[in-house]
Amino acid sequence: MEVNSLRTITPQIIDPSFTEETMKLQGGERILDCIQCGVCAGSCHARFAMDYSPMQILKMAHLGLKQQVLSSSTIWICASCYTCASRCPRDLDIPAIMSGFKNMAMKNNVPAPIALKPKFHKAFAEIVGKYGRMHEPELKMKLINKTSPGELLRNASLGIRMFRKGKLKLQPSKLDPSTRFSEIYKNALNEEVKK
Amino acid sequence: MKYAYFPGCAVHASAKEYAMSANAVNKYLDIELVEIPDWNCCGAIDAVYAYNPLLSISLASRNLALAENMKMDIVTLCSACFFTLSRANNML
Repeated sequence: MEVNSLRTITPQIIDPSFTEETMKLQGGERILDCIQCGVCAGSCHARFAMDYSPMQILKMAHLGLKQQVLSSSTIWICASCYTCASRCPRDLDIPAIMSGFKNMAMKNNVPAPIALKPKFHKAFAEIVGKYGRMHEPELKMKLINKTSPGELLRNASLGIRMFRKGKLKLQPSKLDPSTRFSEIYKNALNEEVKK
Repeated sequence: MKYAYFPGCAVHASAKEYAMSANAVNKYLDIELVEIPDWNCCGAIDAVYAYNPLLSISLASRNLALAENMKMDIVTLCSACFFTLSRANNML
């Protein structure tokens, strides 16, 4: 992955309602508690690939820079490893805030700098809805570029190696159809739309 | 000691060796893991949560409810599954 140099925050369009929107997110209620100490930015393992550090993202949320936050690569690169959150002196749930921003970006149709990421979330949820569990080969097949022979070959050789070790199941494991899993799934999706 | 065991999708497939080593250790610690019948995806810490937070919490809650029926404490090997389940548990 390409190493990004540190960017400074240059305010463009300020949207004061964005701070309130952020405070409505799960984990974002206390976002104004952030003291900009930089522990999150210093502990982030994925910082090298991000355009803004997690600390800067929180500051940008304070300032109401909605467009800049939602179009940054940081929110998509966050791996939810929770190193920042466990070290945060103000006990902020930073990865949950990042997930909230991802959700907001997808809802507002803000194009992601990594085009594959929104597709990944959608495909993941679809497969979970279908089987109740993750089926990794299917997720991979949904995401790879099938027109690129190089990519297909690389994935095929990885797949064969995994299959030999019994790490790749060709048949997805399914839930008992008599349980009401699909009902829970549908209700959760509909409830979210109503909001 | 008997625990309700939530394997999680990764431990069931691509992280198989993790389950093997955990089972080997469990023998010495005298721990028995009973797999939760009909468990589903934990609600994936970020993958499902970013797509739809409510869906993620409901998926985790279903697993917690299944474990509650077994009247045992729940154990999971995957740190992400553990976090998702504990987050749902805190919310409920």
